[in-house]
Amino acid sequence: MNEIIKLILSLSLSGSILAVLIFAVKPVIKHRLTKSIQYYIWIVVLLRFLLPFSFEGSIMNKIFYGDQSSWTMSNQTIVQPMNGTSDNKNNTDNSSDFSDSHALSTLPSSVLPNTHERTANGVYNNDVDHGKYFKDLFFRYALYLWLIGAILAITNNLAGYARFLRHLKQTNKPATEEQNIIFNVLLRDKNNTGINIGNNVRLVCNRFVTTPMLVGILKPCIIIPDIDFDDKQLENILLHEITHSRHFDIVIKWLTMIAASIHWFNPLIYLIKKEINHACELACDETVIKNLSLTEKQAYGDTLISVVAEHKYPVGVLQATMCEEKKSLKERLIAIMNHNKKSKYMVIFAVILLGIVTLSALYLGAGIGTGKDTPYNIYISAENSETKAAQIGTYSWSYRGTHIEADSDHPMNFEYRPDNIIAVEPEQQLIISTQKIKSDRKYNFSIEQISVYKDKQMIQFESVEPSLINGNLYIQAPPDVGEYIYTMILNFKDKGSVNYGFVVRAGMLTYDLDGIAKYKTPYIGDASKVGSIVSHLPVPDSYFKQQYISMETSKKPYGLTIYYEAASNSEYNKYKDVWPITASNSVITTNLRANALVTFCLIDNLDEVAFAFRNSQSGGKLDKSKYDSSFVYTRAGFEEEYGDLSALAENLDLLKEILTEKKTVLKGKELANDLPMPEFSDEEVAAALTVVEEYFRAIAAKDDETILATMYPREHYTIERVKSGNVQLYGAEIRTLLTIDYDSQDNIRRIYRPGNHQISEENIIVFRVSFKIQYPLKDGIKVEGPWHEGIYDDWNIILIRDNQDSPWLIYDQGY
Amino acid sequence: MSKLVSKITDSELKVMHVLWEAGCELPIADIRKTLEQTSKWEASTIKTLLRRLCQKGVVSATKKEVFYYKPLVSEEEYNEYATQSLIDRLYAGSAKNLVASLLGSKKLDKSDIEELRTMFKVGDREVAGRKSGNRVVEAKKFIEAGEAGDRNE
Repeated sequence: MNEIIKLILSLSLSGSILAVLIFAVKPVIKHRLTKSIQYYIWIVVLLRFLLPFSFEGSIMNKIFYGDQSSWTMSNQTIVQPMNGTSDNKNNTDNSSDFSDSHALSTLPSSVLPNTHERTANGVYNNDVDHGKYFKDLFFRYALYLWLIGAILAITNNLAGYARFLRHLKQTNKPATEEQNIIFNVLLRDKNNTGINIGNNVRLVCNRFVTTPMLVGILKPCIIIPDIDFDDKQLENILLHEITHSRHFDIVIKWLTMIAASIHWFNPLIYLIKKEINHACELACDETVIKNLSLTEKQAYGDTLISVVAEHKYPVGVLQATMCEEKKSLKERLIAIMNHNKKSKYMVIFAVILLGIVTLSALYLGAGIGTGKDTPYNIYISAENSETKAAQIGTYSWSYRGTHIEADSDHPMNFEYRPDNIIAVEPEQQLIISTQKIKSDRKYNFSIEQISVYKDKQMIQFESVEPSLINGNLYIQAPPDVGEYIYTMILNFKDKGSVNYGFVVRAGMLTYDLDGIAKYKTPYIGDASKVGSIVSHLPVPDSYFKQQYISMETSKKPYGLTIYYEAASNSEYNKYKDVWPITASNSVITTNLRANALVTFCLIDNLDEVAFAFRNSQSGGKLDKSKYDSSFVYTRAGFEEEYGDLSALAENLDLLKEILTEKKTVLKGKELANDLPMPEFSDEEVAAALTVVEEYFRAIAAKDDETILATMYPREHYTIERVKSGNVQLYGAEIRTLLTIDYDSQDNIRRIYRPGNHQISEENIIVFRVSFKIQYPLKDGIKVEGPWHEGIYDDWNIILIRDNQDSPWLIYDQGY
Repeated sequence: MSKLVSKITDSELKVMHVLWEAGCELPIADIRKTLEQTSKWEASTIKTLLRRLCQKGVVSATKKEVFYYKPLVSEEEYNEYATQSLIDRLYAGSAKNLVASLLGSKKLDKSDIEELRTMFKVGDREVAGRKSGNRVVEAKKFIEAGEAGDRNE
């Protein structure tokens, strides 16, 4: 539902309920409470109509936002954990154990929770959602309709008022000397009471007004009809208007007008408006006569009657409401007659009642919305980088008494989009908070866990301890170049805990390959396209900027030189001590290599590309001698590794994987898939097979040490960690091995190359096994676990060995 | 001044201006001659306008050899009246929402005012209350009558 419409409706309803309550008790309080208190009560109602202030738990918030949780629940799709994914909600630490089963990069298994968010974004593919579609449409038009009404009402009021004032101004004339003397005496009297208001009130006469009136907030002005009032009458009239001025009644009038304009669709508001105006006059009369003697009261009432009698009103215009006028005046006169000092109890009761009304106004509240029913987003920012958002994984979230548990795949397996990937320098500081922009609401959280994965392996690195300051989490990016997946579990007090995942690219370049591939050209001589390609290349270090290029197009080898210079003229000199840059600077050279590869791929006849640097600014002129640090790459060097580069340019996905170092292809391997993998001898295969069988036997026997003996040793796979429960090798399930198949040319064997582990073809073997998962009964109830019951076919078990003499050990498994 | 004055239309006002400027009775031919300079009205149109002005009582027609027309309302009177009615309309429209006035803008008729005057006796109730029971009853009656009136409406 449209938030604005909700807010307006909730204010309207809230105010109306309060008003109806007061109308209901009006007969009781009318003659018992002072008129001022009654007036204040109506002001509270007025403010309820106007101010969108509310507590989260207010009635209106429940009415307008409370039903949403049930709607969310019915649309919530709980995503079950993937096969082999540990229940990462509870045992966060054991994810490292099963993470190996995800490591097969050919098997994308990214499942995100919260399918209902898609419908919220306007995809109405189900019939049930059509209702929502029309509801949305209705609310959009309702908003316009309301807006038109409100604007019309306000402009009509203001325009009428402005014209009225203009015409009055033309015909106003200053008050007479005698009138001003009386006026000033009254003003001074009033000021003696200690309140210094009303000093700037002016008094003017106008023969066209039919009744004395006070106009204006900033420059209040009392206008009296040009009638010969006697001194007593004039005094009473002025007292009344000065009291209005001191009560800020004009402000209330304006607020009433605004409320009536905003809530123009609510018939009750017109009734309330009348009530407020009436209460205002009664309260004003009351203040005036409070300290008057009986005779003076009589004179005051008589003045009212005579002013009404003096009206030289044109017959024929708006006569219909005359009896209402009479009724209202009559009530005022009766109030003056009945005026007496209220007892102490009544005063206390009045104050209590006013308090109750104010409290109910607060409790009724307004539909301002509440915290979200889905977990907060967190945003990752770093200097010189765009702010990115993390993806939300498994969460448990409490929202207005409703608790939502949503499971998803481990964040490590999400498909990250560019807005989840932040590119930073190694060791740069990352700032994580729930604020994307300053105006966003900030929520405090505590850290339950932070893990960093590289190539699907959890890694540890030296870094500054994460620090949590004022709702901002500061962490340091890894020191080594590469792409890292950060997963973190954050705990929001009273709300729940949420798994987040995002990607940090440290010291890596981000290419917009689809954008840059448009400029692919066969010739280095195509200056405009070459220029476009170069300008799309990321700078190898944000310290530099690229300004010039030069090309060798006349003779072979055809060359391209790209010139980088210091980006700013600031004091900060990053390379002061290490200039000229040498090949040992891995960040720069890695990035230049990537740039060179892209350049060769996109310019077909380019033979050599050079990158030249200077540690100062060019000042608008290319002086080649100043570029004293340079790196040269040749096409031949790359083709040795990647095969035909022009062909690689056709396969952007592969190029992307090479650039992001997801894949390190050897020459021709990926492009020409023809070389057979080396065969193993029967003994070698049998030896590996025994390890697999041993593994399953040990799993069945729950023999931790034997299991570990069959697995490739890793830092975190220690018997201590298994014993302490930090690493889980198996769950409650019963795993029964059914078959083992072997194919020397299995594609997994060809493509499975973890980035942090050099494995050659002759040291990797892959088996396809089939096994059965069952869960035992415990007290008649099936024990639950991360696996599905049933048969798992074609499950990969990957074994490696360090060399031909070392034993085969299980390195990874999974689909 | 008649209530119809306020309803003089712009076209009628033009005719009135001719009469006001002349300062004396005019036959229709003269009126037409003056109006010809500013408008293209037919004689029949002007005749209609004059007839309407006569009906509204702001112009009188006297038959001599032809009809002679004379304004019954002076220009000042008319302007005064127009301003008054404009200000009243503006006040009754929306300006009253934003000003604090002593009373509403409607005039009560004589009987209403008389009724209020008789009712409103501040001293009576309290002073008389100690002297004579009868008058207290009377005063109370008034108050009750007033309240009953509220409830009925």
